[in-house]
Amino acid sequence: MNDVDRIIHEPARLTIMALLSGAEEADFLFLLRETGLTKGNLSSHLAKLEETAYVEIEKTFRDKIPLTLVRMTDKGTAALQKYRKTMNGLLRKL
Amino acid sequence: MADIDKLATRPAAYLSETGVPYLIGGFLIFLFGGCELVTSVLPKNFLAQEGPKWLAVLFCITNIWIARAIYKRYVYPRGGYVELRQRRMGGIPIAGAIGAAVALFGTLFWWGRLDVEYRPTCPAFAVIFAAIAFTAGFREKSAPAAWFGVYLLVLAPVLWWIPGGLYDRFLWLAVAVGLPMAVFGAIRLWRFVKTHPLTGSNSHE
Repeated sequence: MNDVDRIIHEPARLTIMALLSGAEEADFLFLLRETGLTKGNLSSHLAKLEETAYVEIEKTFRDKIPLTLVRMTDKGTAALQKYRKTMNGLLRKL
Repeated sequence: MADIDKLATRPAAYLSETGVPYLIGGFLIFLFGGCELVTSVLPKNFLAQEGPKWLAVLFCITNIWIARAIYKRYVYPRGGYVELRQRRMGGIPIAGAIGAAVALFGTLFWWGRLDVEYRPTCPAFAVIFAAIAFTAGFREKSAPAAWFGVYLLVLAPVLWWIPGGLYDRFLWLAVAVGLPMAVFGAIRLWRFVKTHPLTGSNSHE
């Protein structure tokens, strides 16, 4: 269990990472709807993921409307793959 | 624990749920068949005969931008913006099956094994598309895809009896496939707009 990435293991952050693994990028609204989290909760989890460089967040504008884009980094992709391997290994031992 | 594989497919599923791929794709297929068929009832002048075909070509060239405009106007402000990664592997077998079917029939025609007016050709394509629809319906657990397969199976014998040559029957196949697909896409988009009210900005500030 010591090998499990605690950052990704948290259910909300795991959901965020899994969603981003299927997209080149996604905005805050998409993640908000798909995760069912509150704005504050989602912001907090994204900040944590950005802190560990698993995601990068870009704040931009499209047609004068503020837009927050989120992308998984290569480090995040590798971390998610490693997490999957670790969890599969642990579950096989059960 | 979250199903990572299922969540990874959510971005693509979300865009499919909006109906836009079916609306645009279906309309494109319908246009190719319909634009050619309609010229038989239009006046025999250059504009009436060539205009519809060029309309289809124009839509073919611009359909990506049209789809993006629909996403930008109706989808992203309601459900959020997402840009997909490269195509899922699942799409390749279906595209491969269609390509293989076209290549097979093309080769048989070229070898002269099939008469150019061979009647079962068009119904055979309808059956192949039905098989693809059933496969997609089973894999995606999609009732609409399965029902579309049933519709194509019913269409196959109808295509046998349609008067005219092979080319005319393929045009009717395009109309018969494209139109319900476009209507399905339009209904899905309408439902998406109804169930996803506009929110404020999609920034977390």
